[in-house]
Amino acid sequence: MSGRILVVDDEPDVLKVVTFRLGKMGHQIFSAVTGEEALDMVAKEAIDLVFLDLRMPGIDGSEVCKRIKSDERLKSIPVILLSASNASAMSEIVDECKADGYLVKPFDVEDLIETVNRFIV
Amino acid sequence: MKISKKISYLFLVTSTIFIIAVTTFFYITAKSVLKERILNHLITTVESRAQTIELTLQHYQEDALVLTVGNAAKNAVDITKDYAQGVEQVNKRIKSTLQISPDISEIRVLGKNGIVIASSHKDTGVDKSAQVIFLKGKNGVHIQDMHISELTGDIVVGVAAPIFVNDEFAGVLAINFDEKKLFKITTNRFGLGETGEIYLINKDGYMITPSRFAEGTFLKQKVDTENTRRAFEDIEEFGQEAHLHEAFVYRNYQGKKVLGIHAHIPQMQWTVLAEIDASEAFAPLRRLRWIFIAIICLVPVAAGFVGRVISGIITEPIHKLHKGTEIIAEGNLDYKVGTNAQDEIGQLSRAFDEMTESLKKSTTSINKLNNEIDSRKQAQEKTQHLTMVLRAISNVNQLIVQEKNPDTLIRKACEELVKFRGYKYAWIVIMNKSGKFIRAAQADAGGNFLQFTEDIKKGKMPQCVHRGLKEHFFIIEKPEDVCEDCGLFNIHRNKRAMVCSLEHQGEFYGVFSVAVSAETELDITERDLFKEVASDLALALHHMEIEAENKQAAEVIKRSVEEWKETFNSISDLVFIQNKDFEIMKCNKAFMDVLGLKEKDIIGKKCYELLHKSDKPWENCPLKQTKKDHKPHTEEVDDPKIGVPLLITTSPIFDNNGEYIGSVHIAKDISNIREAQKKMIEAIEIKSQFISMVSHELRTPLTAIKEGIGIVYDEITGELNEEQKDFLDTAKRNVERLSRLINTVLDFQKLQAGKMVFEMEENDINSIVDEASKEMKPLFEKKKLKLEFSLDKSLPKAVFDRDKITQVLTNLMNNALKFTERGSISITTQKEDKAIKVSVADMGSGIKEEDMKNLFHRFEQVSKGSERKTGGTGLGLAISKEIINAHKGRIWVESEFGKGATFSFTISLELNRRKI
Repeated sequence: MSGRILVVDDEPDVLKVVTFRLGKMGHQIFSAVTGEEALDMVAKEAIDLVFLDLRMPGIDGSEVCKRIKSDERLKSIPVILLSASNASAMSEIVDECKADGYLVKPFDVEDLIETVNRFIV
Repeated sequence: MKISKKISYLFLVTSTIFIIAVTTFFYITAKSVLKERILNHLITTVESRAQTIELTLQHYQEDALVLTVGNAAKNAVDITKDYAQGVEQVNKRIKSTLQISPDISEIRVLGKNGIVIASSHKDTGVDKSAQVIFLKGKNGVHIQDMHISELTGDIVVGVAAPIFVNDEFAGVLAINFDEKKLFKITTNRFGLGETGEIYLINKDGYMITPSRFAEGTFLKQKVDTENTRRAFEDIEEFGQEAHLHEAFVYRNYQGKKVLGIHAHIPQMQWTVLAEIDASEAFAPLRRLRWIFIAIICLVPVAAGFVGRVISGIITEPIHKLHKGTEIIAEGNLDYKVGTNAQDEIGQLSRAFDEMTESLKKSTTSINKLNNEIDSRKQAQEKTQHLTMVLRAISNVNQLIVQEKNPDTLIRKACEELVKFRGYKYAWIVIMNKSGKFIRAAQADAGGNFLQFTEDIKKGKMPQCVHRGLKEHFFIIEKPEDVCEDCGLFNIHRNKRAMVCSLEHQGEFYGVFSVAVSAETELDITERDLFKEVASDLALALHHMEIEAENKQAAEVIKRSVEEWKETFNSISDLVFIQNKDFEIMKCNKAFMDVLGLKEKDIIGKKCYELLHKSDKPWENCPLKQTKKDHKPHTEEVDDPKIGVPLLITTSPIFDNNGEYIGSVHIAKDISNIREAQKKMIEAIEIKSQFISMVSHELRTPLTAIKEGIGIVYDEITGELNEEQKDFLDTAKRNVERLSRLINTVLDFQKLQAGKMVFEMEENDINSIVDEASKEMKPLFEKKKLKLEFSLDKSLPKAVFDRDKITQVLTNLMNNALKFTERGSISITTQKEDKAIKVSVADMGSGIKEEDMKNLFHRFEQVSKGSERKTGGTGLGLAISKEIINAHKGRIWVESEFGKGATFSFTISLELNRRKI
């Protein structure tokens, strides 16, 4: 099953490898390097799944997530937070911004694939 | 001396003297009688022999006369008659005479002219007119001295007698008598014993009878002895008269000692000598002497024996009687002497028995009386004695009350006891609880006591002291009770001593001893009184000790009060003590200085009035809390009126009954601390942020690296050869390792900063173990290590953070796995008090003791260099410890180097479900 996946990260290298991997899996990939860009993208495109980096200049990941989740039209889009923080800190943030899951950098490719497969059925 | 002995000796002496006197008397008498008898016998013998000889000689004469008057002889010489006929006749007669008389040796008839007319021998016709025989015979009967016959050679005695015819001389008849007859007389030894001898000597002193002991003595042996000399003297003095002589002892012709006597034969001027060997003669005397000596010797023995028997007979009843009296004297009045003898002693003993009987009767009554008197006397003595003891005790008690110095007390106590009670000596040794010598005192125990105490000081505990302490009280009766090498051994001789421990309420102060002479009884009262004194002394010592302790304590208190005051005042914090009503009771110098007030202006004031210038306590004042719950409280107080932030600590003060009476109020200016704290928090924050930032910054590129490698590795971008894949694998693994390291560091940092969140939920530890084991199973299989379980299925559920505890367990299992090469690893769960315990035991290399203590500290890993092999951060156990601490548990290791290690941790069962 192919989906439309948005990957948000201010790190172009991370963005590059993730989009590459997901693209190779047969999904349609959208990428954004800022929170604003990501919000635009979510509003414009019909996105199935968002991988959202938490720490970003400008509107950071959690803010982006909150905004998506507080938008009635968008809140059904699953948002997976990407974080360089430890997993132990993540559950709180996930709760706070009502995200649908998280991956701790550097994540295992298996986890990434598993996550994609979970949300794009 | 016993009577029997006395009698024996008396009898012996008396009888011996008596017997000796009598014996001596008899001996002397018997001796003289015997001697006289012996002499008389000798005299009689010699006299009778002399007479016999004289008689013989007379017979000779008569024989001769008979022949002369006979016709034959007459006719032969009668010239008127026929000569030849006459001669023949006379020869016949001679012949017949010779035949009849064997004594006669020769007979011859001489004519008027001295010519031999007829002869028994062939000398007829020989002219013998010149010969003595003719010349003497002419005039009358003549006996010629003994001589040897010329014709026969025999020893003969010649007798000549005139022959008258018609009253005219006509011739001489000469007869030679053989001496044998005389010899027979002398040689008959009858009455002369074995050694006796009788012999004749002629007027010249020559022996004319044969000697018994020598040959050829006839006329040859001249006898010149004391006896012969006396004989000749007698002859000179008395002439031919008969004279009686005494026998006497002299040496005879042979030089032998003889008893001899002589008798005269006047007719021939012969002397008869009778001699007997003196020893034989006096043999009876000697025998007598020996008998008497024997008697004298035997008498004392016999007398002694008889004396003994007699004394025995006499004293036996006396002895019985004496024994009886002794037995009776010992008090056995039932004893009967019971002598049956009919003599005076018998009577006496019977009278004695009767007397005993009546004595017995009277004794009973006397005894009663005596007993009464005795008991009164004893009571009196006892009273007197006890008065002395009591006086001594009262003196000691006085001492106890007056004396403050223990040395003086024990010394004076000893002296008083010896002085007033008359104890032979007294000593006291004081020791502390561990038996160490403290002091000692004595009276009359002398210099030996010094040795005694020296021994104790050296730790050599004398037996009596040891026993005294052990048995509380005992009496030294036997020598074994005193050590042989004890300094006091000598003065213990012939004494009896009481030894008592000085004890008060189970506390030992030492040992106390007094002695009396061995004859003196120590009755129960005295013993008790002695114990009493010991107890009193112990009490006094106890008081002295307490007093000393009190004094010392007072000293200590005084000093500590001063010290406390100094300390109190030197505290830079502001300290004051207040009562329940917030009134300040005491304050330190710093407090006064800060307020710029004198003590008098502070004491009694309420703290909030003085400090907060308020009419009620400061809102956050911990005093209020302390007053409420009587527990110490600390609060930071920021009162703008005070101007500086203060850290106030209030602690409750209780009285002896545990009643809250006030609080200590310590105020610390914490402006500096605040500043420092602020700086520290900032620093921690910076550090935390830094670590966080670094971690983030590391993770982000790592993500790109990891994914980049992953994409190539997964051959999305094209096929790889084996070598390429192998290197990419190495890179992948190291990226993973780096990301693990970052995770760990971040975890630890969070735990340290207290930022770690624990999800405390009710969980089953066994299921955690199961899960963790399943996760790790491939690793174990890879190393061919067995994983064993010993899980307590009955364990209750506990509240803990599932992930964190899994992390700890995984960490421990990972460690076990790392350090074990073969064998098994076993996991145990069990209940321990109010916790559950999980242990992971491996069979690895174990841990050196020096490594164990640092094991749970951060960045520590056993044996430097092993990191390379195990690839750990050194934070695993430190993190585990932090996690377990958060679960109010503990984590530890038990190990023996080379024999594996067992890591265990506990989780408290008293945790609540919550997030922390």
